[in-house]
Amino acid sequence: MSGSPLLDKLRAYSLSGFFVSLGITAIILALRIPKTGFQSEYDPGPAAVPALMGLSLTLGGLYQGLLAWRHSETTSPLHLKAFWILAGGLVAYAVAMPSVGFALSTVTLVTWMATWLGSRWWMSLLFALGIVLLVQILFGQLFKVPLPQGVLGLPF
Amino acid sequence: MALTELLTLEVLIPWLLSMIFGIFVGATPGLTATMAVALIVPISFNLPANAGLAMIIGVSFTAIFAGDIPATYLRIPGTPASASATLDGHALAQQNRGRFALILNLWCSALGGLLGVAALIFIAPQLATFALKFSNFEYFWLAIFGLSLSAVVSAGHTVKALLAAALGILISTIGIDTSVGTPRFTFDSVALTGGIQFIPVMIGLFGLSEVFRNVLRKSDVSPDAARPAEKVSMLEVWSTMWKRKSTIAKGAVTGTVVGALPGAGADIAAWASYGIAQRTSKEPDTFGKGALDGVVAPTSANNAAVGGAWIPALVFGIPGDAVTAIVLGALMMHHITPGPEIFTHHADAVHSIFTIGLITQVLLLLAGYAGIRAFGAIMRCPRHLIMTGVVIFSIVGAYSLQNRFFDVWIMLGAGLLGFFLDRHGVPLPPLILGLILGPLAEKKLRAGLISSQGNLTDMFTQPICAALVSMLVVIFLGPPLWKIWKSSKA
Repeated sequence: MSGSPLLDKLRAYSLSGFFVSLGITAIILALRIPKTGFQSEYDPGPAAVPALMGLSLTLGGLYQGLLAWRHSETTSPLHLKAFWILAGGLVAYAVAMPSVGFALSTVTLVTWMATWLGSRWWMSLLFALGIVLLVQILFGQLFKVPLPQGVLGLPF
Repeated sequence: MALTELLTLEVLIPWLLSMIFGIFVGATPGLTATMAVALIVPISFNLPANAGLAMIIGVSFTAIFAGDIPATYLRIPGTPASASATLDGHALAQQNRGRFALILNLWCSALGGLLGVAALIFIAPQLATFALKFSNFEYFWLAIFGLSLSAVVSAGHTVKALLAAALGILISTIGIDTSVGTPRFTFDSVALTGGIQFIPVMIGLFGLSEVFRNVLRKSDVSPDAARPAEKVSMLEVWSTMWKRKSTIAKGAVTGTVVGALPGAGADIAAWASYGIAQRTSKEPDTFGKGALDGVVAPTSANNAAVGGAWIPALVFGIPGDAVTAIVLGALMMHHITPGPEIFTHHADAVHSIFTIGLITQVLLLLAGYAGIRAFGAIMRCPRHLIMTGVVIFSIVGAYSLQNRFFDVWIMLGAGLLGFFLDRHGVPLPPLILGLILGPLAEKKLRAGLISSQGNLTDMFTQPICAALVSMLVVIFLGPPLWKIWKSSKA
């Protein structure tokens, strides 16, 4: 979003950094996987595949870093504010649902999200009520999924 | 005899209703074909044997096709076998050709299913014998072959695709190691000991990340961004199929053979077929951008694989996948015991299964068309409402798997991961395939090493292993060597 060369470069290296750090972490944790006495001497053991994948991610990440250094890839500008608002809304919804219940938390999230994306508030509210009803019929009644009732003890 | 018994209202009505139910479940992210069959089985016991069998077989074929509907329209595969439809099918939907892609897909599914059932009828014993020759190393290479195909078909992103596959395999190792019972990456969490289920990851990677992508380009979700209705000419669909008859035939054969391998299933079949279609295409660069071959190849394979999976199930009582495992249980409850004697002891039931399999493909056209129309109507709603609905269905779909919030968090995490990787051009299908095939590859590799007492040469010298390894070499080294040869000639 910035257009600053430093930030552009950092963005280009972020994929490489992600894979390398994940790979190294995987190798370290894999080496700590305890061995058991049941293992056959020919079995490479439970740590082998995770360590191998960690090594692959590290090497592949380094290769990606080398590519980024030679000719940086460009990614389109990102509206970070919108990203964090949506991610925050979803996390709040997932946190609230067990205590508030499925119906109330879903009506709130859908009304907010649809309004935020450009719908009129009353249309968003109607849509939210429709979605809750549909999910209740499909998942709650047909597939017998126990949707969280929350402390208010709403029907679903 | 079987035909007249089947074409009665008491069989046809539950049959068609179960297939519509299969469309509904298969098209709902989080609900799988396995779940659809599992939900139908208890109902089928209350009906005559033929009606029960028709419901079970009907739903298994329909749910696999239905998974392609949200994959095409929303880039969310309804079932793992539909992941490849997120490529060309979705690319066509973005060009407002989604309905055409799906009707083409439907006809190819029915045709693939027909060929799969025909194989079941004519060459079941021979194919089943071939499938039984697969031991640990053969399965290991088959899993690697499926993974590699998903990577090499990601044109221009092979290294990133391999990284995604490695990440998928790494995630699949979380939980209790099934060979020796050691916890891996569980951090003393009870939820993590059961491992990471691939369904929430799949929903997050494809569904939620798509919502993020759309929301961050607000023009795509503005209230005016609803799509106009799309007109589809059946003549165009049929002529497209005729021009691609060899791709459909190759897909159906690939699907039948892979489906007949116990444990392989429709997801590997779809990727293998997609890979073969791309490798043999005159225009491989168009794959992933709306290539029609990329639509017909995987869909004719995944439905053929359903028929293929019945081969070892009927002949040896070995289920080809989770769906046929449930079906085998249901058959036994209907007093039909699968095995070599089934063709003599239960000849009537076998004929019924064959006939049901064939008629199901015709009914699939009706049920599938209804599903496409219903989903198409939803897709004409404003995009911002669709995206909001996708969020709720993604969350409820992830939760409904095991009725726990842990899967919702996994789905949200996968959504963020998918968004990040997608922005950096990392293909997502290899990640999900790594998650699905990783445990199979690891288990078979370790079991193979134990049974061969660490002899690595067996891994490469057994005939089927050697063939699979040779194919992998050709797939990876063929294109660059071909380029070098062409440039040297020029």
